[in-house]
Amino acid sequence: MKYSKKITALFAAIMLLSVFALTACNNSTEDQTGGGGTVFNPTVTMKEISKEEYLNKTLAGLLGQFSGFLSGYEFVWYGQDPYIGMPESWFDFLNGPYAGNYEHYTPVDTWRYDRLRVNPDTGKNEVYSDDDFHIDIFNQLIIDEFGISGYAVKEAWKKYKVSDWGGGQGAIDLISAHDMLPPFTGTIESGNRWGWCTEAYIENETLGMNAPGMPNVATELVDTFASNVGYFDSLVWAKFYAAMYSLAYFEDDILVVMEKAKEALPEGSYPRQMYDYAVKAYNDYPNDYRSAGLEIVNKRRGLYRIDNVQTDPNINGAFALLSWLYGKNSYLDSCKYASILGFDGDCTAAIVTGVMGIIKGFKQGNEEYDAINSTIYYDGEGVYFNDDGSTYSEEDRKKGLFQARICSEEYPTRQKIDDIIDLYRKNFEKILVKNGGKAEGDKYLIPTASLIKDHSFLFKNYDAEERTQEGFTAKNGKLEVITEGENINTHSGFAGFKMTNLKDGEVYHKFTGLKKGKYYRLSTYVKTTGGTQVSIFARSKESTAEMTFANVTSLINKAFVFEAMDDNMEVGFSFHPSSAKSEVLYFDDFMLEEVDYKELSQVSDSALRAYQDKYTRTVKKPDGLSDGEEVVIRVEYRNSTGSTLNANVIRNGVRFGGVLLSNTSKNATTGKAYLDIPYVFDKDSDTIMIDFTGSKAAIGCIKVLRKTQYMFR
Amino acid sequence: MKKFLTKFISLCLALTISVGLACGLTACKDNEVDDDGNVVVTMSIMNSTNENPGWLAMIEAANLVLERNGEKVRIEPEIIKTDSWDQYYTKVTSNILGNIGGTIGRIAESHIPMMVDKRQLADLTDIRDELVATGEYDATAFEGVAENDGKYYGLPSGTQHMVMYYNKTIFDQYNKANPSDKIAYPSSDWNNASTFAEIQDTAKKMTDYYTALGKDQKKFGLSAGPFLAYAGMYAKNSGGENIFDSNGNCVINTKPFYDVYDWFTQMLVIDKSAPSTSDTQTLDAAARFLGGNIAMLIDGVWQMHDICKYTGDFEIGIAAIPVADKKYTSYTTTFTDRFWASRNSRHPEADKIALKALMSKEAITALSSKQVGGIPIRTDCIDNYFESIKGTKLADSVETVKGGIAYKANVPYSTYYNVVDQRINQKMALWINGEMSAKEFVDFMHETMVDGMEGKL
Repeated sequence: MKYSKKITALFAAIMLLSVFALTACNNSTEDQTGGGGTVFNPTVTMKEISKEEYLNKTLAGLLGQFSGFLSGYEFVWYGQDPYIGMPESWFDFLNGPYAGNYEHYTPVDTWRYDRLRVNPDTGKNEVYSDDDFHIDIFNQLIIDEFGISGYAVKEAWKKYKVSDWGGGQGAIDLISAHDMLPPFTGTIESGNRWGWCTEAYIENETLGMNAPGMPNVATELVDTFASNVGYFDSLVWAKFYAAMYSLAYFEDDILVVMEKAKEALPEGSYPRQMYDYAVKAYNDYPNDYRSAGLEIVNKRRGLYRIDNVQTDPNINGAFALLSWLYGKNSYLDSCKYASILGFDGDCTAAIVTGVMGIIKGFKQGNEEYDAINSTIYYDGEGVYFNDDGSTYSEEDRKKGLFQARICSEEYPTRQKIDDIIDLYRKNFEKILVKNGGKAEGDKYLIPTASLIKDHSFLFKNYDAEERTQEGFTAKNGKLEVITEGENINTHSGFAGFKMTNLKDGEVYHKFTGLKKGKYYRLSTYVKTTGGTQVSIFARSKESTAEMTFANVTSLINKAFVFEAMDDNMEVGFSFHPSSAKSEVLYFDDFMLEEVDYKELSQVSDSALRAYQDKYTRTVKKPDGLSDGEEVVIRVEYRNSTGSTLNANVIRNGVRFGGVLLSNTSKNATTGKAYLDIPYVFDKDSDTIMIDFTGSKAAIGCIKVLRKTQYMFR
Repeated sequence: MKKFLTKFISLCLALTISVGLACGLTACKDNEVDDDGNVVVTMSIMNSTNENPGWLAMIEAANLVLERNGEKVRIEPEIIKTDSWDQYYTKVTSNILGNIGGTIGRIAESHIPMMVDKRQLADLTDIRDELVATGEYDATAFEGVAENDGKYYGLPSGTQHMVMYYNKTIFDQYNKANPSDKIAYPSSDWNNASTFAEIQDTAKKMTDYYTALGKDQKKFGLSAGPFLAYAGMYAKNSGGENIFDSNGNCVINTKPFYDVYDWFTQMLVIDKSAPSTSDTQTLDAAARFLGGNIAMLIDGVWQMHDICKYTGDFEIGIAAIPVADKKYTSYTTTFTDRFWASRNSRHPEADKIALKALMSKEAITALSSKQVGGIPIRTDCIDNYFESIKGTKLADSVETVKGGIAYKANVPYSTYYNVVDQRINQKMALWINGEMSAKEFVDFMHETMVDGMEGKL
């Protein structure tokens, strides 16, 4: 037996090394630059999967989500510290705290636990809703009934009255108050207090099951659905996991799936570092999961507004990876390690076990089959219950607030698990056809592809964590690195930059290796002294593109898209010429990526002009758009009101959704930014009004762009 | 040619100096090198109004040692704004993750096992070996919680043991008013300490007498925390063992522990001669003792500073910890707080140089001169510490305090100890309020400790 274990361990180590070596080899030979820039449409290989196999793997994926959730330990503390590496004896498949088993750990809030309960009418267990999967399942209704767009997500959340934790709670609050459209709903600037949290990935990663073998479609779906509830690293992990769910349909080795999905983790980013730390920790402690877990926790970084370290997306991401590594392709072992490693263990186990389910399928003879079948699936009779008991408190129950429930009476109280799977299938078939695949008899022909290569441009010290000014050039001002134990002026990690103006101060990074004519998007986090106006610029020898922000007195995200006018560009910030010498800009996480930019039509090339209360324009639907297809309407604007404006987009006289007009300027004559409206045409030509009643804003040129996904949200 | 060479060399020299200055300037910006080129080692210390002067004096003295020795290292204090060890621990461990704040510091002994377990501490074995080899330090103080698998992750900053303070003035007032029923001061002899029964009797008499004088005159006879940290000490003083037997088995569910908690029950629940948790919510026991509201207080030597400063005209004595029977020696729970260094420091060698300076005779003397940090672990500094007490109202008790050093009972801290302690403290009110018997409480302590040992908490 010991010999067998050693052989298994050796085999796993060889497999791991082989996979990494193979991938490294692929990176060096595969042309991803396309003669300039990233190839956003990787080579397609048509692959077949039988309908039966698709349904079986998808069922196994969802059952894996349920099983992991019912097995995992969530937020267990050991004194003042999170409990890392609980004893293996605590693992009881399908019988963890969320199944009502408190033998080893009793949560302080047991009233919201026990999500596996017997229905007295049937005598069978039902899986009660939890945020690990209630939105995953709801997403299938959204796609089926509303389609795939930010508008569809918003309308569905509103109609069905979603209750959710964290970022989801923030989103529904904004939808209720402002009819706000994603991705605005997931942002700091909109007022989503919890967008940093786990919801983006724990609630959306199974969208990968709508796009088997099509990981780029999976990440695109996540970009639309998950940005409703969050931003930053939580979105990055959401795309990584969704890619894994997608890739797992055509793989039998979790290590290969992990490695192929890694492209979703930008090189140099903290999530990517976590991936590498996890592999290293596993190699350093191949027989000691607790020590590996402790090594990971010692890499933990701060994150703006995080209020429970155990929800840290990056530590939980590394724990998922460790679970797969220690699991060595075993379904139960992967579930076990995810359940007991610590932090948000129920969510991690749901993610981890779901992927293992897809790889293994739900098949008699599998190590997990009998337990799952006799506990939750019942040969197809298993039921998912839209829980009406999981309130935060009795007071919230009276208010109708639930932690994980779709509250509308129109939403089914009970769904057979098989019916949910059929909804995944139905949506998959639509997505398949749209992306060039087809259903043929009892088979699907799928246009599979590898993930688009990492197209980020993260340079050393983009996040200030080197604690030096390396990577940036400052002129006419003082650039400092600040460190914080609690993120207030910094966004992530423990450090950020502070630029104090002297006169016409500017700070920038010189990017090399860009491709002239390609488009790039900078995402960064900023804060200024009161009244300060700052430009984000992208400068070549020939020209400068810029946008502005002003009076940003608490940290928010800013994104800026520009066309490279040269292969080398200076990208950075400059103070407005009228800025005083004491004015300050804080910035952190200065992240650039190449974007797949395509302009569909130019609506207006007007110069900026002021409008009171509203701006109306007729916009023709670009040729070739399908019904319900989302585009981006990019509107140049200026807002000098001193604060962010909540505006409404009115489509043909009916409210389409709420958007934000950031404060761009300290006066009405300078500065501008771009409003990206996630838009769906209703007719061949829509009358679109931007309503900012009570305020004045200047509107300039307008373009319709093809929707694209970003690595950094 | 010669002139050209000279010019050329001068130019090179000038360039070298310029570059050097520029590098120095850049380094300055990261706040880790001062204007004189010294690596600045930041030291975290907990905020304590009364103790800060002692630690700051120690750092100042250590810096003089560093300067004298030509070391290019200087120590700067970082006072963490909390007076709770738990909050301090959370803050410094978070700072270590972020590589911000102190790369060295001081922390309570109880938190060291968790920091070792989290692998946040640097291996200080070489310094420990070097210091112990000199023969100038109490070698036993280096042992215990900071040692793990033969390596040492902390250096002792001093030892602090428990004593029994008593207010002589209150005793004298009582005896004057009750000439036919005089009570004696508690014994200061560690080999002939007062018994539990004697102390219980004294406490009751004091309480009854002062309570009878009216509400505004009420005093408590004794305050002694029935906490897990002291339970082993009382059990040893009852002929038992310190939480665990020699085989590592938990022995809380044995007679000495039941007896000790029966003793507490008598005073806390029945006689009410000791303040309850609700009494100490309004004013803690130490503050009550300082104000003359409690006649006897079992507490640590760290209270001496406050007692000298804030007890006004009261005369104060120090006695040994009581025992169950005269045949038992009196032991005293002894804490040894530690200096630590961060494992992820960017200047680990400078940290070690700084720590060695803090362990120097000059630095320890500076600390102990302020009666802070407890009994020095450097033997040639102990006399200085006690000399400083001789100038205070506790002068007569110096030998008693010194005598306690020989009867250490260390708290068996472990990674699970704090969790066990928290759980027990949560139940304590039930027992003190009479909703749980002493036996039930002791059994709960035992079960919780066993759960902790088995990783079930």
